[in-house]
Order: sequence, then C-alpha cells, then structure tokens
Amino acid sequence: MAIANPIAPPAVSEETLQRPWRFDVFARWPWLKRLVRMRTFQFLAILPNLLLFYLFLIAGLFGTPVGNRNIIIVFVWILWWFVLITVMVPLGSRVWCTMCPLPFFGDWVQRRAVVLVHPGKSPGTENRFFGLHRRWPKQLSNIWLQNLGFLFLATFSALLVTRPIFSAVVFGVLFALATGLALVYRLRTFCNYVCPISGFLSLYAMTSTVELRSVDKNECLKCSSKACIRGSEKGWACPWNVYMGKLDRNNYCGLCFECVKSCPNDNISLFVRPFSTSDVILRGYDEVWKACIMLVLALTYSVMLLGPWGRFKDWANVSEVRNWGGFGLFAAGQALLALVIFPGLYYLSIRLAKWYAKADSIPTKELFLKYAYALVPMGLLAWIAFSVPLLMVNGSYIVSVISDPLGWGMNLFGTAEFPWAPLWPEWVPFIQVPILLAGFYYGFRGMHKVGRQLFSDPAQLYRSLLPPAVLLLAVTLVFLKLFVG
Amino acid sequence: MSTPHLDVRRATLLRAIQIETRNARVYDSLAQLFQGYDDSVTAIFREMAAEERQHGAELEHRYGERFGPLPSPAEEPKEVIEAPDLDDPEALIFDSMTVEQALEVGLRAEETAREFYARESSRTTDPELQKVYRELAEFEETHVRLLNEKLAEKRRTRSSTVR
Repeated sequence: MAIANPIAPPAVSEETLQRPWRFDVFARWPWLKRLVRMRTFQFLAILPNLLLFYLFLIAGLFGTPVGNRNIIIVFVWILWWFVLITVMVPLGSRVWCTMCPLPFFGDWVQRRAVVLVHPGKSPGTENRFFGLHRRWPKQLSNIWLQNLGFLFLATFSALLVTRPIFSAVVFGVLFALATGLALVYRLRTFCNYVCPISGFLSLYAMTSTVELRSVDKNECLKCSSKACIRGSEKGWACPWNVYMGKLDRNNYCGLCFECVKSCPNDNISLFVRPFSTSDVILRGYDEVWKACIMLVLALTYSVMLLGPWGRFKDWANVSEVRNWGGFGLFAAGQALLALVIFPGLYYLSIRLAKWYAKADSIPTKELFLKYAYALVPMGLLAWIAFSVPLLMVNGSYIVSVISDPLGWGMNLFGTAEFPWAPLWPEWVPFIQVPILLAGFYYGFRGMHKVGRQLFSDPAQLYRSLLPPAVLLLAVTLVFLKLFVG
Repeated sequence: MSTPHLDVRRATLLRAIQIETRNARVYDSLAQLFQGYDDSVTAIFREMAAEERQHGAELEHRYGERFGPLPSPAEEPKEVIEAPDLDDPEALIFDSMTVEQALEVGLRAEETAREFYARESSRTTDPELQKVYRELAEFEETHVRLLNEKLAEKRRTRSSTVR
C-alpha cells in the first residue's frame, strides 16, 4: 500500500523568490549541454587560441618592431581587447577563461592529461593530480596580487601596446608563471590569484548576462558527493575551487564546465539573465579596490590615448620619449589616484551617506563594500566607451596585418597594403555618450538594489544613496568631458 | 497487516535514519574537501561525520525496538530536513573557513531538523506519530546543545588565545 508523504516539500526560499528572471539555456538547447559535456570540449576551445598565441609570440620575438604592423599588437590590443571587453565579458561572463591558452600547459602537467579524467585521491579532490599540489598561502588568497599586477602592467601600457617584443615577453612570463605555479600549487592558483587579466574579468563578469548555476539548490543540499567541487570519474575537481551548490555570483567561475560533467544529479545549467542585475555584492576590500583601479585606469587611458594632452602621452611613452622624470610622475600619479585618491573619495562618499541617512546601525565597512557595486557597471561601460574608438579608428590595421602578420612584407590575402582608414570617427561620441549614461544608470540601479536590503525607510535609502550617486555622476561627467569635450 | 498510520511512523523514522547516514557522507566529503587547507576544519568535519553515524545507529536501534529489522536501503530521501552545507561557495578560494564556521554549518542543520520535527509534531493528529516526531525533535535538540557547547568552547579558546 502506498503511503502519503507526511513531510511537505521545503518552502521556496526567499532567495529563490527574489531571484531575477533567468532562462535555462541547457534545458532549451540540450545539444549545447551535450557539447560542453564532451571531454574534448575545453581542449577544442583552447587549441585555436593556443596556436594563435604561438604565432603571436613568434611575431613578437621575430616580427617587425613596428606595433601597428605586427599581429601581436594589432590582434591582441585592438581586436582581442575590444571583443573581450565589449562582447565576451558583458554577454559571456568569463567565457574567455574557457578558451584561454595561458593555463593550458599548467593544467596538462598537473593532470597529465589533456582530455581524460584521472579518478583517484589528491587532497581535497576525487581526482589524481600531479605536482606538489600545495596550498596557496592564506595571506595571498585574495585578488590583491592581481590588482597590483594589473596596475603595474597598465603603467607600462604604452610599451605594451606599441612594442611587440615587450608584449611577447609579458605573455611569455605569464605562460611560464601559469605553468610553474600549477606544478607547485593546487588547481588554478595562477588564474585565481595571480593572472592580471583574470582579476578584472572576475569583477566585470558580475554584470554578465549569463551564469553557470545549479538548477535546484535543494538537490545540492542533498548531494553527499559534492562532485562539482571535488571532481569525480566524469569530471575534474573545480579548477577554480568554487562550490556550485551555493554559488551566487560569477566572479570566480571560469566556465570550464567540469561541474556540468561531474554533477551526479545533472543539476548544473547555463542561464541567461538580464544585464547587471543579479550579482551585486562585492565581498572584500580587494574587490572594491579592483573596481577603483579599473575605473581610474579607464580614466587615465582615456586621458593618455584619447585626450588632447600630448604631455601625458609623452610621459607614459617612456620608451620613445625617454622622459624618466615625466614617466615617474605619471606612474606615481596613476598609482596614487587608483590606490589612494579615488578609493578615498569613495570612502568619503560612504561616510557622508552614513551621516546624511543617519545610518548609525550599519557599519561603515558594510556600506563601503555593498555600495561599491556601483563602480562595476560604471567601470565596465567606461572601458567599453574607451575601447569603441580604438577599434573604429585603428580597426583597419587588422585587415592589413592579417596578410602580413609579422611585418615581413608578405601579402597572404592581398590586403597587406590596406590603408589606414578610420571607420566613421565622427560617430564615436554618439556611441560613447549612451554607453556612459548606461554605466551611470546600471551603477545607480545596482546600488539602489543593495540599498533596499539595508534600509526599509525610502527616505533614509535615498539619503544614503545621494553622496555615492553624486560621486558616480561626477565620474560620468568627467568621462563625458573627456570623450565629447 | 500494517495500518497506514504504522507505515507513516515507520517511514518517518526510517527517513530520519537515512538522513543521518546521508549527512555523515556529506561531512566526510566536506572533511576531504578541506584536506590540506586547515587541518582543524577537516578534523571537525570528520568528528561531525562520526557523530552523524552514531546518531544513525541510535535511531536504527530505536527502529529495531519498535518495528523489527531495518529494511534494505531504499532510495535516497527526497526531503532536505537536515542538510549541512557550505555557506560560502568561495570559502576555498579565500581560504576563509574556520572551525567555528564549520561547527555553525552543523549547528544550523541540526536546528533546522529540530524545528522541522517540532513543527510536524504539532501538526499531526496521530498521537503515535506525534510521539515519534517529538522524540526526533528531542534527539536533534540534544545535538544542537552539544554543538552549541563545542562552539562556545572554541570561541572561548580563541578569545583566550587572542588575549
């Protein structure tokens, strides 16, 4: 005789009720799930980029030193950067990490496999890993190294985007670091804590319109294997050390899809969601500083590369102008602005917010961390606005360099002599202005969403929002001034 | 011939046993997950896994007394009721899990179970089933108390170390 279940199913959690709209991609298109479940999936995604990167390194080392004639400069710093910041991150989260070639050799030596999985026991996992598999120092288990690394590289950006050899050396060092760290430390230590690109991807992936999440969190509660993070005979332990059962933001999910393969309950899916709506909480000072650094760098790059002030450009371009004093001023000024002045202004706005809203019960730290999300969409869209003219003005180099990637006088596709031809440069400001305004809108909206959870009184909420919103508006106006004069 | 009420009582107790068994496996997984990070976190999860096994054995004993031999394991229980789980999905990235947090994971699971059984006990009209629920609620209450004591002890030790 069948018995009635005396225990009612658990109520829908508040979190589930509050979750914004999302669309299950794998449920709608199961072939996509079959594709990412293939063991060869990531290898096939990485392989073309690995070959391209090899070509870039060769071009950087042996090709012409003229930047706009060398594929490493044109493809990486014009095409790749543009596609990454304007398409991949906002629409695909960390999909670049799915196909990034930098950790390829590290993964290979660590797993001694390119495609297959080794079941077994290495500390923390149900897979057999090789190498020392050590724990990364606790003091460095944050993104400060990435913050400082990106700021350091950005200081030398004039070199990076004009000197092929410099770009090749930087990428070579990153390759070596990724491989070396994989030999000593467990999983994707390089990606989690060191890679400067990964740092800003983690931040801006929060805004993305896709997310990899568990379908039903209750399934994860009941799951005793925790195979998504520990691995299984079907998939590697999460290389990023993320637990899918409670994952609520994109920052550290590198979209490798190993959890889709290893989940015993078939409970992981890819979801589409509205832009800049779901992940709105920064959890540490390192993440807030990352947001500040990125916003300030978008500003200094715009001043340096798009503004009318030739002096700043000369200061940054130390390799040609050789003005070391000017470079020192530029580097110190940029670091000061990114690490002290702008975070200080933001802190001040939070102190003002607390005072004006009479929010004595909310710790300053909490408000400082929670309202910082405003800087995320603002920063991303400022970077997009900055990158638009890069492609529109310099995009024609892509056409010419594709026929002569090393600048050796080849003409593979008959386009080597394609002239430099900016694409509708007069339209650039008309594209930049709405992008910047969207940055302000999404920044404010994110802050408002967080604020609603902190303040039940609307008047208090709006008072708390006013000072950081003024700062956000000031930043928007500075960018507008820079871009459209 | 068994009555529907008897079946429900039996199923309830059986499910409680299965949940304890499942939780032991969850704690084992969590202990293994933190291997090589903080040994004290691994140790506390192992300890909780052992305790869950012991709870399961105690319930099995009660089941045996009441209903005879335990049936062969059926399918996994569908209900959550008591489910220890990591709160922070990024705990391993930031290496931020502490012994206190590990104990809180267990404590929250036990509290949820205690509240669930207490609620069900007040809902049901069958006095025998009510008794089973009440027993289970008391059973979980003991575990809550135990974990609270451990947590207090850890906090005391930590604050005295800080001083």
